[in-house]
Amino acid sequence: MSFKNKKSLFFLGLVSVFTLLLVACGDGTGGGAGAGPGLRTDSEGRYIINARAFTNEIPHAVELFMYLNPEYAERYYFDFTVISDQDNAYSIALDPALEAGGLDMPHFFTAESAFVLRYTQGTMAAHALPYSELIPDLDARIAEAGIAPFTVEIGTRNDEIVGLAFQSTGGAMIYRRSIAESVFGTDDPDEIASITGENGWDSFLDAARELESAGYAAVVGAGDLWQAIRTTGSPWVVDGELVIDPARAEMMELHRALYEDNLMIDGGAWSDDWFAAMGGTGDRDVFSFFGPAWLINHVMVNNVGDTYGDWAVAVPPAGFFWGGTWVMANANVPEEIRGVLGAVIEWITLDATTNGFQYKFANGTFERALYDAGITNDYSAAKDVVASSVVMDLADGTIPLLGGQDMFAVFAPAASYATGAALTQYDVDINNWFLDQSEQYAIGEKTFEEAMNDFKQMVADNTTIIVNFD
Amino acid sequence: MKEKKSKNKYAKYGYLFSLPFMITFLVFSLYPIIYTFMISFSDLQGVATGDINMLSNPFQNYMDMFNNQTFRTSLQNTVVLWISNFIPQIVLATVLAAWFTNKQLNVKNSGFFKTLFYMPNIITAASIAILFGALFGAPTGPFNDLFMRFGFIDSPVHWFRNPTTARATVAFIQFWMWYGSTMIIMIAGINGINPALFEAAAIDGATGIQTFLKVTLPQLKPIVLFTLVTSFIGGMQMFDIPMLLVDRSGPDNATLTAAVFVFNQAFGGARLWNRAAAASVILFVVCGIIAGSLFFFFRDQDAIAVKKAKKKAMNALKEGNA
Amino acid sequence: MKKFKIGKFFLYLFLIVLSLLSVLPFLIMFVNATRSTPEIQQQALSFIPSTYLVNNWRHLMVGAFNPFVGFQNSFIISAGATILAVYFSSLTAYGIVAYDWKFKNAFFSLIMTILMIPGTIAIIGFFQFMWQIGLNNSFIPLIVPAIASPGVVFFMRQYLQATLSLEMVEAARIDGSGEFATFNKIVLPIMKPALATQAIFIMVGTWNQLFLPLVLLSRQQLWTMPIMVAQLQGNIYRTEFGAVWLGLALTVLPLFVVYALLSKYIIAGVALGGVKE
Repeated sequence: MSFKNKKSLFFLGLVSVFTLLLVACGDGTGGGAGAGPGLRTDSEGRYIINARAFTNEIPHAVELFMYLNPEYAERYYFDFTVISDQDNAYSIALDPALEAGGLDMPHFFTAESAFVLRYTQGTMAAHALPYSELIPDLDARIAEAGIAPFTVEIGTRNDEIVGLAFQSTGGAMIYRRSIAESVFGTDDPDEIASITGENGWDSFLDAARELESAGYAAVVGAGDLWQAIRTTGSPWVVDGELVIDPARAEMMELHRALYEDNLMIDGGAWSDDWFAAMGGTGDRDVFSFFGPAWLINHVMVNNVGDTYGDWAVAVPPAGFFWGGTWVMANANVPEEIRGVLGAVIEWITLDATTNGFQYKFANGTFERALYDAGITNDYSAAKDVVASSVVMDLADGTIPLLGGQDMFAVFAPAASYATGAALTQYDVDINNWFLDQSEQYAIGEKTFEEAMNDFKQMVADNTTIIVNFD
Repeated sequence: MKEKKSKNKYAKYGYLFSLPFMITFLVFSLYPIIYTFMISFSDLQGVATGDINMLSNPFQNYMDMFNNQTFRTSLQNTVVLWISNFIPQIVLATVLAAWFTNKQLNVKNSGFFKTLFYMPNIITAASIAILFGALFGAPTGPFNDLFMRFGFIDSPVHWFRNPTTARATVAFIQFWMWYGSTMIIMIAGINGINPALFEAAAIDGATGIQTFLKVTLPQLKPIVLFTLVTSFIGGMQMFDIPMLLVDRSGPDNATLTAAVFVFNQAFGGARLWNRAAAASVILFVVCGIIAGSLFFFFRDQDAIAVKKAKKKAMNALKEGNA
Repeated sequence: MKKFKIGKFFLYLFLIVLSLLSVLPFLIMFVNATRSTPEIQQQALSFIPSTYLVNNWRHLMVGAFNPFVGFQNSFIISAGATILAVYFSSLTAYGIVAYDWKFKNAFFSLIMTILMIPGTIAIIGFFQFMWQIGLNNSFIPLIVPAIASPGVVFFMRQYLQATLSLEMVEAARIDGSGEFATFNKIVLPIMKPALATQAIFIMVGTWNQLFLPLVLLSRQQLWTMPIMVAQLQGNIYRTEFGAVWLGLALTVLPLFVVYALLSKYIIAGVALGGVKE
């Protein structure tokens, strides 16, 4: 009998606990509201700035800024929500938050190259605050710091700059010196660049066939080449209509040649085969990768193994860029926090001095600074290419992974070949569909016309872009 | 007469006990559903605002969807993927359930096996997708290595490049994730069968297979129906694995399911809320028609079967008592 | 007899193969939690544990990842949703099975109709609605809607039809028990195995859900375990895969515990069906 009573007591307890919980959650956790128009404060009375990011880089940079500038840290606290952009999750969560406004409105957010245009020029562009309202003499500052033009182009909404990137993600061809030496008789970056790219991708295919007959693969997969092709030429959409740039149509032929002539090992990016090729532990050694400096310093560095020092960078057959983080503020941010947002954004995107974020980032001292500030418990000395050419001139790009080559000599000019003109806000989807059909053509499942037609059908069925079927 | 009266007296409790469900449904689900229904007739795209403008031709989105080749493909894929994982799943689940409940067979450690078979279901789809993505890696991957070592294949198979192997992989994962859960339901169903029926069959000298075919299977019909309907509804909404494993659409859209299609419409770069809503409504109607007809078709038969079974059971009991 | 034995041998062999298939992912998950990122990148799957568990833990603890907060939030949400779903679904099912009322069949058809509505259809409207009424950054939209779980009602109805004896209910009435008390004290205990079975299904589902909490909860102190693990994958330029696997392994651990506690009901088996004793 007592057993039964215990049961109902337990149940009653549970119900009341949950009622309490619901009530508690209902009135909003966190500190008190009403500190100012549309701003929360924390227990220390600091303004809480709602911030969004898709990687830890910017949150760490902001944390370091606050560490270095206690006068701001006393009055403001950046509350970061970091959401990875797998399956568009970042923008799916960001959009309604921007739309809804109010106390939970994001004040500060970042955007990746894959979807940045959505926020700077596309659907959500109205939510972006022009930098000129935060930073005085903006144009002069950009010129002074020598910010890479493509990053400015992407961050510009009708002549107003609303977003800037701190990185410059212009790409290069990253190749194995020993393979170059044995097949082409030289490992010199300039000579290799002309052998593999003098006549664009035709030269690359010729070189790839030579590599194949010597028992090597030119690249891991067609996706590697696609990285270098997708940001060249005309954008996918011009005046609402689908445009297929000849460079992209040529991609299908390149893909087929790679497949039919056995010029690749036919693995995907980020697959086991891809990483194995970096360390030279696959069945067939791979000559090259295409990517920006971050690919070398953050990805390859962990995987090169015995091939450490056997790599070099050369100018690729076509200029391209891959990735990048743009920093933005909300058009509706309250007056109270504009000062700190301006200071943070300026430090990240425009400060070209040795005290700035970009200098640390370029020289590989950023992670060490985080470690010293107690923000992280691990660090590497990864160097990276940044947006400011002034900083690039100050920084030293020699790294032992590249056999002591100064990578900045190739990557810094690469930024000027990269162009933001080839981007649209639909790129992620369209690129997926294109590569899928390109593969169907390459492996001989479809004719060129069939593959092209099915690609167009995908665009027509999944977007409102006007598609002309010939 | 008296009984009838007393039943009416208690009718209000039927309403009362269903009230929390109704209220919650009305508060949390009805508005979103109506909203979705409304935007399926509107021009809402891009920024999702509260304002909804009806289209001059309200059925435009529906017409777009009927003419949408990719949507039709996705519906076909969904049905194909569901059938090809449900049939092996229900067969295996039923066989396992029959084994585990068979007292003559007396499978040892059956509790241990039952516990393990359900386990794939407790991992997140994201982990499973990463895991199988790695297992089916190509050109180098554990399955390719294994199959080549045993000589099943000469060169590595690109599992996610060929429509058939991509579909088979997705169907296999769905099967593997869900057969344990279906088995638990089937065991529950067999446990719910009147033991007198099995006793009667044993007295009649029926073999294990005969008992399974003549007693277990017919009696299981309501549970098979339950599984069929819930699995069909779940299958029509298949989303996680196709989405995460094979990059949203698979080779040449081979594993693009209807739910993934809706997701791509709604959350792709273009944010076509209105078309996504129309596609969802169509999916709901198709789902409702098929599940509804499954349900009513089987239910009538099931009621007859139950009556028959009851009679038979009562007879058996009477004989036993006599 | 001998034939029977050979048959049994193959039966056990088959069961063991299936068991291995079930255990495999967990094994790989736990092994990978001890491996370093380069090791995982070079070979995604391995059965040989490595020595980077502590290192992965350190990577895990950077930034927003706080397993204690994550566990707590996930627990509140999934326990809340599970209790509400099994309790109120049983109540609804009991209301349908035990009483005769005019709209009973219409109501049951409605529940079946709701069951058929694709989950994706309502999600667009759902999260916009929640933002509009200010229920973002609240657990309410993640817990309370569980009260209306059509699938669970369907299951409970099937179960009650098989096991509920109306004579018992009648006897309770004669003893002077109120209807609600009868449900709580007599009917619910009968339903224990069914409650346990459904509780596991719902617990697993809500514990693992990612999309809805991700859209609704922007404050990190409200994040669930799956959101925290997903944000580990956030850094596309350098994901710490060892830490991700450790996070995934940690996420699944509490489910193990709950499953172990409830699995005796699964092993014992519930009885379902349209046949009453």
